Amino acid sequence: MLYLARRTGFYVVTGVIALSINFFIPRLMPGNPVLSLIARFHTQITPKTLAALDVLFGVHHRAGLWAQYTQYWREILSGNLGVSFTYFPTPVTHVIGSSLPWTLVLVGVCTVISFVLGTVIGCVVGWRPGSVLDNLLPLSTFFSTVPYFWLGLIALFVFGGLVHWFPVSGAYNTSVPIGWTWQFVGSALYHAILPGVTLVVSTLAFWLLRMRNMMVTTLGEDYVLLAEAKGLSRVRIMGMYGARNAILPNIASFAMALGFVVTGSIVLEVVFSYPGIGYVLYQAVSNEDYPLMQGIFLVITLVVLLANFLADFCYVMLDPRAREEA
Amino acid sequence: MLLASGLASVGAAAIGAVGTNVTAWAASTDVLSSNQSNAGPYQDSFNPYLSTSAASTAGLQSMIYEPLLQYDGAKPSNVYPWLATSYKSLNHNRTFIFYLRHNVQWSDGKPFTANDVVFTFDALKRNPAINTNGIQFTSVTAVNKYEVKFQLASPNASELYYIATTYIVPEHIWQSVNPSTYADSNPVGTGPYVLKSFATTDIQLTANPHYWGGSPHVATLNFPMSDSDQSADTMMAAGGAQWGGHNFGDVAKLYINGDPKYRHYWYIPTTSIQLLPNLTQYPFNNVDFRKALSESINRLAIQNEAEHGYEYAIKTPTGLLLPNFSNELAPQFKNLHYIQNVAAARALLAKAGFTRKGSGPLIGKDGKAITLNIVLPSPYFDWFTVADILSSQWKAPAIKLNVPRVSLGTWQSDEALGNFGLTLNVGNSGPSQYYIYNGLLNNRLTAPIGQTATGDLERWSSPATQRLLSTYESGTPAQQAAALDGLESVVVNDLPYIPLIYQSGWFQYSNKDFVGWPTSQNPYAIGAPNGLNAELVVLHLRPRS
Repeated sequence: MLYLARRTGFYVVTGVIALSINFFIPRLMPGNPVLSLIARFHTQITPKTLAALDVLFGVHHRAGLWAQYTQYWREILSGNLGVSFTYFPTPVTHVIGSSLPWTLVLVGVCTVISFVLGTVIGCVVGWRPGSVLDNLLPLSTFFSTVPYFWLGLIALFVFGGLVHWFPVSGAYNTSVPIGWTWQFVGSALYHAILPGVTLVVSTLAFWLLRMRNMMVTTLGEDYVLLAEAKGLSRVRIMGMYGARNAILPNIASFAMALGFVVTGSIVLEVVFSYPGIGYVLYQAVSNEDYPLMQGIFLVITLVVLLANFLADFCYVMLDPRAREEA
Repeated sequence: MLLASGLASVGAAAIGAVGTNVTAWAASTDVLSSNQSNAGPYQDSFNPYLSTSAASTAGLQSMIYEPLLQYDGAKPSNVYPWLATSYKSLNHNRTFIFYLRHNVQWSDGKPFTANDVVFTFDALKRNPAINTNGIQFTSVTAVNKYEVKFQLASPNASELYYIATTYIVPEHIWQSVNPSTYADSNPVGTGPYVLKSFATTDIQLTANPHYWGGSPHVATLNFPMSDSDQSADTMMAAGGAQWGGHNFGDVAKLYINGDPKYRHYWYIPTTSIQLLPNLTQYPFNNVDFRKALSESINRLAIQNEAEHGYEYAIKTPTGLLLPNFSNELAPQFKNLHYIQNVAAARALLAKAGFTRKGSGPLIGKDGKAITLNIVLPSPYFDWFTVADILSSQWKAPAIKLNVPRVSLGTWQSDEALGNFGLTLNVGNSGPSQYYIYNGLLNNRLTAPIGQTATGDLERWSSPATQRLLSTYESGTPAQQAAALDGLESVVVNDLPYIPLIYQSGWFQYSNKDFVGWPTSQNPYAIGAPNGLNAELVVLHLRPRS
């Protein structure tokens, strides 16, 4: 229990520091939101329009850095994240709320699938190293080392452009009304297949390789030999003696991976024009939209910390040595 | 990131080249889809005055909100009566009276009256944050239910255009909100369409049953999101939208070739892009030097090499926006065209006292070699190609050109403060060449070097020019035409700035499902889906039967 309390304290301090960095980093960027807006509309802005935008965004009347910083903490603690510049006058919470679900579902589900699939296959491959199944390793490693945008584009070109099996952009068919209908869910799934499959294919090797190698190491341990000597069933040895120990490092990585789901996959969302949070973050950064950037970083920070906390918790559950330490 | 989107463009190009329609975008024939590049995920805000609202990024403001008059962007002598059926300009253009259309209703059924117009302009005056055209007036009053009177502080003929093209909003809804922060998620306007459905990836509009002009022939308008030029390329190439308005680059290869029978584009100039010399500096203060610079430029090469051939070279030395303002071209300049003439440039330089030893650099009166700087903002990468072309063309008269690369913010302040030798500049837009000239030549907008100017950035100062500009603001149409002729002579003879190329209004369309698009033969409107004429275009379309 002391262990968990100590970890909690650690995460609170980390959180405060991370959120302060979130505040300062964007402000080190040159330029201001009005200039970014001008760049976005490529030149067609007259001095009169410029004057209006300056008033709108209060560019020349911004408070000092310290006043902004205290204001920032007041806003975070009250759950009010301000108004986005890019989507003025829409509140930041609204912008995040409308884009996060798409990413959570697509990237989240793919991360889980990739983890489960990779771990199970890795477990089986590691059980009998040197078998035919080992051929999976170079193949999956190939797909994970190929840059993701290239894989995505090739998939888009072949399956979207050449044979027309899948749509080339968007998250659902725009002529279907949004709602919990079979038609809409079906169209959303259909649009998710191409980005989803490419994401799983490119991340699978990470889990597979780690699990297989840990499995091989673990199976060399004396307690596995003892279990075999006791005449335990093969499934029991593979699951309870091998996999349970081999999976520990993967659990920590999985928690991190889940934390990073909220950052979306910017490249995926750009290649497939998927309306998720990664694309919104890209927009926020390129438009110097401080409130929106802060809001998204806040969500990312909190989720990553939470995921790590949960990973610590799982460790305590799975590994008696962690309990002993405490 | 950049690499990724660069490659996405390759992907789009490949898909465009493969052509044919992607069935996932089953475009039904009564739905017109319009595509805006860089719109990104929408947020449900329809405030027509905010450039960040979904209405603006999707380019659909004019489908919901309407102005008093509509100006044909392709042929601005066409002015269509809209919420005002007629208007009068009195008192040397110091008073404007608009007579409003009767029996117009807001989409919630309430009547549209002069009070709505008065409210709209008072709101703009009270909120400088949304007064994006900087409209100024002393008072606006409702003379009666259908008559509105604007009183201006001084003669200002050009203000009429900004007043007449402002979107009018309903007083009964907007009076209780702050117009500069109002999201306007359920817009109520007088326009032909109302909001049908909103999603971050797609906005749909449907016919407004209360519309004063009767039911539009396009039942549903669809505005699918695309988040970059590359995804817009892909969507248009695959037939996901029939109406586009972004720069395709090579439009023939990426778009037209996919379905040459129905797909078309029509690009028309929207304003001019010019080379601004800093007239307070040597050697730019010498008119013969400026003429020599202009004489040695091959503008067609800039059009073809820097702009894929789709931003057209300016041919007339008046800098006039043609063909849009062909009725404003002075008769004596009708047959005058720019022709690259290096010999003439050399003669002008020799006449002005510039010398050259053998194949050495051009030497100024002070005995130093002439080296020019053109300050350009790094995000506008096509301008750097322009500068490269200028640099190589000016090698003939032995003028050296440096191209410092600065950030957008630095460039803007450099321009405003006069901290440049040469720079490129995009003109204003409006229904007459006057609007472009005024922004470039009006000495009342400028400021001494080191202080912020809002116009006349090259610091042109000429009492004769000022007289011509004020004649236009206070004059009758005949006097205005004469003043414009005079201003054209100033540009031709004194070259206060050097016209280069036109900026194009991007417009691609497929007439497979709908016909009646504007063309060069029938230029009833400018076709760009994000332009002021978008509503005009939609109201002209008919389903192909």
